[in-house]
Amino acid sequence: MIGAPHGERDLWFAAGGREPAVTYAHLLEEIAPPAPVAGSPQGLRATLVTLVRALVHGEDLACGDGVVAIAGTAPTGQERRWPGPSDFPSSPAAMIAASLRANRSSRVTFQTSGTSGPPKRSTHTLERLQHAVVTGEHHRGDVWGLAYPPTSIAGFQVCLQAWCNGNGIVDLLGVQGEEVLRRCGEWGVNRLSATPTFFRLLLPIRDPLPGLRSCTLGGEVADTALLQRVREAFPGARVHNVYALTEAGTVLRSEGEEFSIPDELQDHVRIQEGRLWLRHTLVAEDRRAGDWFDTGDLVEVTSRTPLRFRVQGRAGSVINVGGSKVNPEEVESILLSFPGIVGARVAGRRNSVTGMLLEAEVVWKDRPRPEEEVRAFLQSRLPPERVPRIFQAVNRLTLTASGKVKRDA
Amino acid sequence: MSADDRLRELANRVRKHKGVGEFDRFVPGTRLREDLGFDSLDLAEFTVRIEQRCGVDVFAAGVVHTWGEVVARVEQHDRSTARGA
Repeated sequence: MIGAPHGERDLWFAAGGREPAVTYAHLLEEIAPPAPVAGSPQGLRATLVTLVRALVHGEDLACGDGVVAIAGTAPTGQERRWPGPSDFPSSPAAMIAASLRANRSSRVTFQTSGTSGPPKRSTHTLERLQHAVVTGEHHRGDVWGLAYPPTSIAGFQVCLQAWCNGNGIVDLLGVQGEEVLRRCGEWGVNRLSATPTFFRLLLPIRDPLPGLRSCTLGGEVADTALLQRVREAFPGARVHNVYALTEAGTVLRSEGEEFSIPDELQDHVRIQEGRLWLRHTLVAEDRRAGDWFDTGDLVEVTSRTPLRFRVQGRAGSVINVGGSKVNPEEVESILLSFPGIVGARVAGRRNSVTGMLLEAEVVWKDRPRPEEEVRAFLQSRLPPERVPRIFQAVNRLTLTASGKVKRDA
Repeated sequence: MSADDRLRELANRVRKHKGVGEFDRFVPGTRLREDLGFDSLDLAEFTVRIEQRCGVDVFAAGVVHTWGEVVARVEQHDRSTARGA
């Protein structure tokens, strides 16, 4: 166990005050024996221990809705590919990293609940998931704030990055505002990866967290204004916007809201009828059907050669208002540019006249402004059918476990 | 508050959001489109507000053109819920 928060070596997990932080040496004790040790950890730490234990023993994993199941075990009679503590007497963290490298053929399945139909599964090999992992001196001593469930692909990637570098993980799941800053400051978090909604709810801040070196925004549309605000709030951090999906992991990275295609993906990405398609080789094997995969994400092309585009939202979330197709995320991004609005969710409300009518839930940083002002602001920027007609001020939006605005509530 | 009074309040709320003044000459023959100046989105907002406040979708049983028809449908709904209660 670690006593003092700052400067301790070998931190692997800090829960944010509810339980003592633990080191990699402790993790090793928890995962080495075949049966769970007495006094097993609870909550997020228990999930992380289950993940690490399965991965270092070369087992397959099935993750969904926060639940981890061991999908398959190493063949019996075959020696487990885990190197054993005696190989790395000096560093438990190095031993775990080496085990992850050795078990690259393990398979990890992530489950996404679609808005309709049965849940969809995407299976990746550990090798493929490690493509996005960056190791080296530069990452030694990193401490990650974990804002995604580790059973989602985004959270899993954060954990994998941390474990491959022997980095600490600090629990930020479901935490907002001041408490995020307190935990990050206390444990020296220098890497944050979370949804645009998470960062919107964090800003503005009083303490700029001088140690923060990178902020990664993903999972939802991040607009230029938000990326700029994050940069201003954390001047010492590099700010990235990533395009990622459960079926393919992280595909594209950008400094702004526009994405371009790196050389190695030139023939792997295409846009057809305003939607983004990926070549099947980028996609989990169990999600492949034909040569190209329809991501269902709507994009606006800003440049043909070289190709540059902005992600606008999910095709499946488009709302039909009197025959006009409205993308709620476009309306939300304009609402979020109104001074004082820190959260917005636009949904369709059924009616007998236009089929759907837009309604908006709005989170205000301080005192709400009159509805007329917000409507006038939207009317000057959007055609009438895209302006919400019903407004509701709420204290917080309903978010998914990953911290995205929930769309099918 | 009578159905007529409740509906006047809601209709004027829709007009206020449109940036036009309060309407005070409601008679049964007042036309929603021509006299109140409601387009289809205004009518949709009006019907959603009525449903929120009065619990009835006045357009569900077919198109409604005049003030009198809207009031009649809400009153009919009020009577049926009063009987059911």
